[in-house]
Amino acid sequence: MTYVTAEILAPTADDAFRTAGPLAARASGVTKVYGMGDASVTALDNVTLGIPSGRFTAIMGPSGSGKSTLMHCLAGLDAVSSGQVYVGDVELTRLDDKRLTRLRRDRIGFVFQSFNLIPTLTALENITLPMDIAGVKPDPAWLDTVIDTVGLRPRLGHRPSELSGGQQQRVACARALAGKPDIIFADEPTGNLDSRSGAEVLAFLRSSVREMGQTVVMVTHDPVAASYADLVVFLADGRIVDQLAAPTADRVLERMKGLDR
Amino acid sequence: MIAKLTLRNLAAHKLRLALTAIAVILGTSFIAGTLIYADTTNKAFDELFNEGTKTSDVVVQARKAFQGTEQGDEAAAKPIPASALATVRRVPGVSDAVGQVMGFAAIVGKDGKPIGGGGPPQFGMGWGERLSGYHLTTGAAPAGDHQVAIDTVTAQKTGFHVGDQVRIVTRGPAEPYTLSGIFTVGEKGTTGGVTYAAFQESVAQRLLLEPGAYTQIVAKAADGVTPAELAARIGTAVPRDFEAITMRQAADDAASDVKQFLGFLSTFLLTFGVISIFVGSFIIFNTFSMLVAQRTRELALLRAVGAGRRQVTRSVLGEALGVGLVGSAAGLLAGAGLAAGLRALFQAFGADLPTTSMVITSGTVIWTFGVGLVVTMVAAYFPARRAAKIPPVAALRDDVAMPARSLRMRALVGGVLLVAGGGLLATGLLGAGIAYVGGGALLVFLAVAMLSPLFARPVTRVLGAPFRRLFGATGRLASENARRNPRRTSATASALMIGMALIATVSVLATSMNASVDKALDASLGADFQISAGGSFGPAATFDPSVSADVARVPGVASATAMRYAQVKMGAELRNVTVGDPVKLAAPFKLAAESGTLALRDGQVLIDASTAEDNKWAVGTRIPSQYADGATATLTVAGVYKDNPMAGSYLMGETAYAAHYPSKQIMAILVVKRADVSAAQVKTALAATLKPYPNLTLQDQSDMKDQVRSNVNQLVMMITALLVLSILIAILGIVNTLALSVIERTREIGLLRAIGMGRRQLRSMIRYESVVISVFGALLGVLVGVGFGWAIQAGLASDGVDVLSIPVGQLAGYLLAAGVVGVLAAIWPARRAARMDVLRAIATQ
Ligand SMILES: Nc1ncnc2c1ncn2[C@@H]1O[C@H](COP(=O)(O)OP(=O)(O)OP(=O)(O)O)[C@@H](O)[C@H]1O
Ligand SMILES: [Mg+2]
Repeated sequence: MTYVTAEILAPTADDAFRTAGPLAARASGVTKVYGMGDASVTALDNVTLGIPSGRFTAIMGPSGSGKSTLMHCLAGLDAVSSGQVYVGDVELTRLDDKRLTRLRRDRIGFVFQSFNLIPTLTALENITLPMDIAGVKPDPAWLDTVIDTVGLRPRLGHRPSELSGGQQQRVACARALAGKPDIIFADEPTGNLDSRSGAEVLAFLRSSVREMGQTVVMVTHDPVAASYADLVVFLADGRIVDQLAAPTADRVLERMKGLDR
Repeated sequence: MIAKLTLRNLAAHKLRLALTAIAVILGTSFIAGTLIYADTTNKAFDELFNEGTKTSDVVVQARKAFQGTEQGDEAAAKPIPASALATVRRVPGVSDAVGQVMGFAAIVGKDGKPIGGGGPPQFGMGWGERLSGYHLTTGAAPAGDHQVAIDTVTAQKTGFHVGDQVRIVTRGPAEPYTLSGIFTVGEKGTTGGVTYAAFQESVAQRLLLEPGAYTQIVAKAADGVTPAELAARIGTAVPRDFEAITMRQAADDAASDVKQFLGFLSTFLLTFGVISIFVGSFIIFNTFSMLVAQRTRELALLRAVGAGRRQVTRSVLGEALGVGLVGSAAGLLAGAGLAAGLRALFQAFGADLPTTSMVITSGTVIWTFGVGLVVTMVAAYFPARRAAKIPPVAALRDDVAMPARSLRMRALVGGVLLVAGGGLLATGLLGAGIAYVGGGALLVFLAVAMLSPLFARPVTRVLGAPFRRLFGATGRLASENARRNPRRTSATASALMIGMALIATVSVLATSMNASVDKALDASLGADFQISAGGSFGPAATFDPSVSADVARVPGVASATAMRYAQVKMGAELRNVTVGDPVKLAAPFKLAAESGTLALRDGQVLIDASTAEDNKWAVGTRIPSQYADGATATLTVAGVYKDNPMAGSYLMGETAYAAHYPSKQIMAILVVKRADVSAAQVKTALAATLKPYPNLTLQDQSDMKDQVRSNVNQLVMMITALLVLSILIAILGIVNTLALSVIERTREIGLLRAIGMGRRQLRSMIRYESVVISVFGALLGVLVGVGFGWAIQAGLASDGVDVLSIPVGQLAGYLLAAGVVGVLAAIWPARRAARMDVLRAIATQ
C-alpha cells in the first residue's frame, strides 16, 4: 500500500461503541424482501443495528450481501418489508412520501458512487441545492467552514463537467455537510476514484466526523477506505455477521477473508 | 439484422414514436380530409347539376359577350320572348319544349325575416312539371295572382302548411300569398339552404321578369336526335340574341363556377395542412435527434462491432419509415373523419354544400402517404446522418458527448436563407404572386429556426429570470434546463414559432385592414345610410327603383342615389363598374376630382387615380369597350377622381347602362341626410318606409364599418382556428421534448429527489422549463409575425391597406397564452417525472 493508512485509533473506541451514547439512526428487526414467491430475494434478514452519533461507521460485505439495501432503508429511500427504522427518534417506516422527502432534505445527506451533481449548476449552487430546495438560507459561517474544509474555494463557480472526479465527489460531500444533517450516507463514494482522490474524500469525511461532530455511514468494498472509519459493520447474506472497532486495513481484510469462506 | 434492430427500436420507443406519429397524423389527416372533402363535394355538385340533363337535352338562353361572375351579371341577360318558344317547338327533332321563368324571390318566415340569403340562392320561378325536376307532393299547383308553392325543405324549416298565408319578396315589397302546394326539387331534394317559390307562369313573368317572357327555354330531343344536333338546329332557328347549348354543357358551365370556388376553398384548406405538416416536421426532426443522442452509446457499439455508417443511417431512417407509414395510414383514416367534420363546420357557418357518398380517390391516398413519408424521412435524415458520424470509440467512453457542431455554419446558412427568404417574400409582395410569398415565408421560418439556437441562451436567460427570482432552486434548475441544449430548445420552440408567427401575421393584417377601412370610409363615405339587399349566388337580390323614390321622399333625406354594379369589358379586361345618377354620385362618395370633370355624359366614364396610372389613361382617353350584351362602344374618360374605396375604380352614368342591361332593378341606395336633422330620426323614418321590404337592410355609417370589420374578423377567426391545428402540433412537440428530456435526465431527477426535492417541486421545475420554451417560441413567432404583417401590409398599401396597426394587447395576450400552453404541455411529462422511483432512477445507467 502506497498511501497513508488510518492512524491507529484510540483503544477506547471499541468500548465507546459498546456503551453507545446517543444513536443517530437505528434499524430494528429490519427485513427487506424483493420480488414475490419463487423469485423473491431476501436482501436484509432481520437486521438490528444502531448508528452511533458523531461516529464514522463503515458497512462492508461481499457483493450482493445487502449493504446498499441497508443503507437505502436507513436513509428512507426504500421501504422495509418488516421491522422499524428510526432516524433520531422519528420512525421512518411510518412516514408518507411527503414527510420522508422532507426528512431526507432536512436531516440526511447523501453521497453516491457516481452522478452526484446536477450538471447545470455550479459547484457552489450544487452545495447549497438542498437548502435552496427547502427555501432556507444557508448559514454563511458554516458554509465557509465546509467550503474551506473541502478546499474547493477557487472552483466554486465551475460546473461539474469542469471538475475532476475527486473534486466532484468532494463537492458532493460538501453538499451533504452544508445542511448540517443528522447523518450522512455514502454508498461507495470512492468507488470511481483513483487512490489519491479517494484518500482526499475519505480524509474529508473523517475530518467532518472528528472536527465537526458529523455522523457518517459509508458503504465500501475497500478495506483501506474502511480503515478511515471508527467502526466497521460486516454484512453477509443480509445479516450482520461481525463488527470491528478501530479498524485498520489489515484487520478488515482479515475479517473479510473470513466472510468469503 | 439492421431491419431487426429497427423493429426492436420501434418497439422499445413506442411512446416517443407514438407522439411523433401523432404529429404526422395531424398533418396528413388535414391534407387527406381536405382532399376527400373537395372530391366528395365536387361529385355532389356534378350529380346536382347533371339532374337537368335527365329531364331535357337543350337549353336556350340569352347570349352573353362574356361570362361575368360578379353581382349584377344577370341584369345583362335578355328575356326570351314567347315567340321564340313557338319557334323552338317548330324545330324538327324537338319532341317537347317549355319556357322557364326564374328570378329572385325570398320567402319570409313566420318571424318576418327572409329565409336564406347571404349565400345560397333564393329562387323564384314559374311553376311547371313538364321537362323539369319539380314534383308536387302535397296540395295543388299555384294558380292565379295570389298563390304560391314552395319546396319541401323550406316548408319544413319554416313550418308553413298548405293553406297558410306566406309573404314573398320579389322585386317590390313583400306580398302575401296562399300556399297552394309543396314540391320536391330533383331526385336529391334541395340542398344547402337554397329556397324555391313557384308561381303560376304568368304571375312569375310579371313578378320576376316581364310579361310574356322567359328566362330560358328547355327542349327535349325526339328519338334518334342527339342533343348536340338539336342544339345546333335550335341555335340557328332562334334570334341572334339567344343561343342554344346542350344541357350537359349548361351543367358544366354552371358547375365550373362552383368548382372554381371549391378549388379555391380546398387550396385554402390545403395550405393549412401543409403548414401543419411543416410544423410537424420540426417535431419529427427533434424527436429523432433526441433518440439518436440518447442512443449514442448503442449506435457506437454497433459501429464498433462492424456496422457501416450507411447501415446506421438506414436503421434510423427505417424507424422514420415505420413512423411515417403508421402516421400516414392513421392520417388517412382520420382524414375521412375530418372530411365529415369539415362539412359540419361549413354547415355551421351557413355554407351547406350538397353531399353524396364519401369519395376517396387514389390521388388522395398517394398524396397522403407521399407527404407523410417524405416529410418524415426528410426530417429524420439529418439526425440519421449524424448518427452515422458517431465514432465507434464513443461506445467505450463514459462521458460520450457528440462533437459539438459549430454554430458558425448555422449562422451562415441561416443568414443566407433569411436573406433569400426575405428577398422572395418581397418579390412576391411586389407583384410576383402568392407562391413567392409562401416560399419566402417558408425560407424565413427555416432561417429563424436555424438561427434561433444562437440567441436561445440569452433569451431564455431573460425569460427564465423571473422564475429564478420567484421560485428559487426550482426556478433556477428549470431555467438552466431550458438553456442547457439550445438546439433542442430552439427546435421545440420553432414549431410553436411558426404557428404563432402566422397567427400574429393575421392579427396585424386584420387590425391594419380595419384601421385602413375606417380611415377610407371616413374619407370616402359621404352617405349617411346605405340600403341594400343581401348578395347571394344565383339571382341577385335586386329591388325596384321605386324604393329609391320612396326613400327620397322620407323627411330629412337630402338625396337618395340608386346604385347598380355592372361588368364592362374595357380594353382587354373585365371591369367592375359602379353605375348611378352622375349628378348625384359625388355627394355620397365624397368624390374629389383630380383632373377633368365629375359630371358624366353619355359615352363617358370616370376612373380613379390609380387606374388611370396603371393603364396610362387620362382625361380624354378613348377606351374600346364591350357591354355584356355584346354591343361595343368607345368610352371616353371624362374625369379622374382620387382613389375612393366606396365608389370603386370606375363610374358610369345610368343612361348608358340602361341601354345594355334590360333589368331596371337596383342593387343599393345611398342616402344623404339633411344636416339639420338627427341621424337617429332619419333612421327611424327610413326603417318605417322599408318595412314592406324585409329583404332590405338599412345601415348607418357605423353599421357599414361594423360590417366590414365583422367580415374581416370572421375570416381572421376562421384562419386562426385553422392555425390552432399547428399550435396543437407544436404543443405535442413540447410534450415530446419534455418527455424525452425527463427520460434522459432520469438519474438527475433521482438525485434531486434523494436529496429532498418533493414531487410537487419536481413538477413545477418541469412546468417552468416548459413555460420558458413555449414563451421563447411564441416570442420568436410574434416577432416574425409582426415582420410578415408589416411586409404584407406594405405590399398591400396600394390596394387600400395603407395603415399599419399592430395589436399590441392582442400579441401580448398570445404570449400569455403561450405560457398556458407551456403549463399544459408539461402536465404529462411532469407527472411521469414525479412518479419515477427514486432508487431506480439513481441506479439507471
Ligand atoms: N430492486 C431489486 N429487485 C430485486 N432484487 C434486488 C433489488 N435490489 C437488490 N436486489 C437484490 O438484493 C440483494 C442485495 O442487494 P444490494 O444491492 O443491497 O447488495 P450490495 O451489498 O450493495 O452489493 P454490491 O456490493 O454489489 O453493491 C442482491 O441479491 C440483489 O440481487
Ligand atoms: Mg451496492
